[in-house]
Amino acid sequence: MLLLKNATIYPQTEEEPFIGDVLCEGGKIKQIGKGIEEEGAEVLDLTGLNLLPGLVDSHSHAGLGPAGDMGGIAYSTDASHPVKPEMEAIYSADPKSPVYRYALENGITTLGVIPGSMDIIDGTGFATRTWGDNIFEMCLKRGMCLKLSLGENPKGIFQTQGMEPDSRMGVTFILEEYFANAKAYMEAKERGEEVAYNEQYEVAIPVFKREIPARIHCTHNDMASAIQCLTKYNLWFTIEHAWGAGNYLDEIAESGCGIVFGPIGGRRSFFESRFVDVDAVAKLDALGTECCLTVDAPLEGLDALLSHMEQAVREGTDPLRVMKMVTIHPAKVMGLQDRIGTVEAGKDANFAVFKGVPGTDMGAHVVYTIGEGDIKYQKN
Amino acid sequence: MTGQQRTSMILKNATLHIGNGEVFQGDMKIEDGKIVEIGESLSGEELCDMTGKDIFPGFIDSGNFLGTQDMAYFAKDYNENSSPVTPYLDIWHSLDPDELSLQEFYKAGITSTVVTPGNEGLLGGTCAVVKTIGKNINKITVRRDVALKASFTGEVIRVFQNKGGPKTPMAMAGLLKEALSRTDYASDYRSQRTKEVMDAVRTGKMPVLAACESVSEIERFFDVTKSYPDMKIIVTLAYEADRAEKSIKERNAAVVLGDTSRSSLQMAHKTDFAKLADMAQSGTKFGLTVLGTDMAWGKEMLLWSASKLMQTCKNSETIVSMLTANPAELFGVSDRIGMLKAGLDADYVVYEGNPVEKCSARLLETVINGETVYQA
Repeated sequence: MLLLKNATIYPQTEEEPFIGDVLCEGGKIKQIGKGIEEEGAEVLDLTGLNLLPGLVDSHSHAGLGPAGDMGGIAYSTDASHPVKPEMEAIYSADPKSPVYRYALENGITTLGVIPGSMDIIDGTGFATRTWGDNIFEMCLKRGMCLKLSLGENPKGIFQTQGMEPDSRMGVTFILEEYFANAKAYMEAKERGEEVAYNEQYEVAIPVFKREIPARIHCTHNDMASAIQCLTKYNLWFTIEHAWGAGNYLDEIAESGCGIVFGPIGGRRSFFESRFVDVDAVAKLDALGTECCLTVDAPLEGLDALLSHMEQAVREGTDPLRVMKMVTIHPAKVMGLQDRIGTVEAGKDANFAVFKGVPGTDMGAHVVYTIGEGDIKYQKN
Repeated sequence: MTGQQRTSMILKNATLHIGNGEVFQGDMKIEDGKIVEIGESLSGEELCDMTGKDIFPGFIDSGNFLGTQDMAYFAKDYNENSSPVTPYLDIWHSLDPDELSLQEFYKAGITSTVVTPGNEGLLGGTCAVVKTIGKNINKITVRRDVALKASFTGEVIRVFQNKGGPKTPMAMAGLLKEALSRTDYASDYRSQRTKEVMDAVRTGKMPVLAACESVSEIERFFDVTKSYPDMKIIVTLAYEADRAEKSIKERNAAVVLGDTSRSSLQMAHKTDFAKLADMAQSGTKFGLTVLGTDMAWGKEMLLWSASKLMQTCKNSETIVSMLTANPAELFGVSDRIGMLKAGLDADYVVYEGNPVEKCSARLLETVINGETVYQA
């Protein structure tokens, strides 16, 4: 048992921050309140420190590389065929990657690890703890989402391999075609017709049933294409990266999709990164869109998740709302809101403890990371 | 851009962060694009009430190559990859003001930037200081030949290993020694320009901005250049400068810290920001840049580094200096920019709150040469 005393708790529920104690037992939060005493519990005094739920980045490629690779990206995307929904990112993951340890040093206890964006139908992602030796045991949820990609990345690489597409319109068409065919397959099965088993289309069934989200890499006008394609089937979906969302506020809000914004901090180029409008996060949050932040690790280091919170605040996001964008909102995107993302009794005892208030105070930093009731990282 | 030109105005009752560590509560008079007076109870015709506002000198990025990439063609105008030793080149000729303006540096309070050759050349060429927005390169230039860019990183090897070398750090060291020790220059234009630059470097008239990622690269660079005690060294990237503290102090070198967020560099190099902040507080001059190993990144990154340094830094003005007076001094342009001081260009940023202390501080206005280039 671990008893955390006198922390300023930012619960990420409807409740305001308060000073109190948290008792952890069996990896779960047992009790939250003031003046908790528990015989035999290890006590950690957090006076003057700020306690948040363990941070979550739902969009990363962390660990998807060969053994010994620092961040892992080489094995994140196959780029061999534009339609590869049957790929599971977990089979590319190296649990020994230093990136997981590094996540803990930065208060991150859960990562959404998803395929990269070179294919169009990229495969499924998984949610994982950031500690452990066996990725299949670390994993909290397999088949967490179906990852899709529009735009720059899938364009052109297939043409050199003698395949379509070679243009943005070609990319979007393949996306539309996949969902149209998969829908016809699902409906034929539902009607009891004899259909040959198709694994690629099977992956789409939980997406059509809104059991898992489609998460689509898109920016700028690609967002309009994505919203049009995916709302047609009434899917649960999120827009990933979402640079330029400020020009599509109404469409995004009306579609009911979520936003996973980032990474922030690239140079401005003429292509997808021409316009990275961080202030769109504040605007969408005000419109009721559930926004998350991502550093797209290892493209940016997981240390930058805190920098992303700071930057979102710098560009207009409320300093308390920004905390939800790295806790409960990404938990919801991964369908894990009943297990992680807030400080509530019954949830996993995952916490990030900061000196200073993250997203408010420059220089705020993690001093403890607690995963399922154990101190996984302590700043010396 | 509002393009509002102020011939004469007085900013009243501001918290003026001078840039050198001092903070002054008072007024600042601007005339014809210059700061003409800092003082109390200044009077004049056009007054602007700045009560409750914080004013800083416009921030300076201490050395990156944004604006020189020829992005439409990925032409990388910042590296002359025909030879690893090209000290005679001047980055100014590669700089496209439109591409620089596209970065919107001024929206992050950055009014000047040190434009440098990339990290692929051992001696890549000379650097220039320019303002961050404009259409005409002559009009945005503050000064040219402010430093010689060097690189002791693996980028040099990556590019030149199949082009006749260097293929190893020892070969890089040999080439650098040769370039430094050379005394016989022919009378042709190339040789004479090389002499001009290298003489300035050897005598300390022109600093050398040396890209070194690791502590080994920093120590090697100091060793190769130890016969030139007058040489002024600014190490950049410097992700492991915390482990080279002793040598940096002994050599009286400065540090321009590169961006560590991108490409997971902080994870790879285990940068100790607390130690870096200690070094800064005990006298080592620091600047900050958005430059990374193989690319320069976005305007946001300067304040990200500032925040990491603020973890242990007790005086936020130490960080303000890294963004203002230090780079101006290091690159020899403190007669033009880097402080709120009479005689300097009226380059300043108006904030509600202090951006080095609070993320929620709001940039209200960016002014270059007395002209408002950005307003929230």
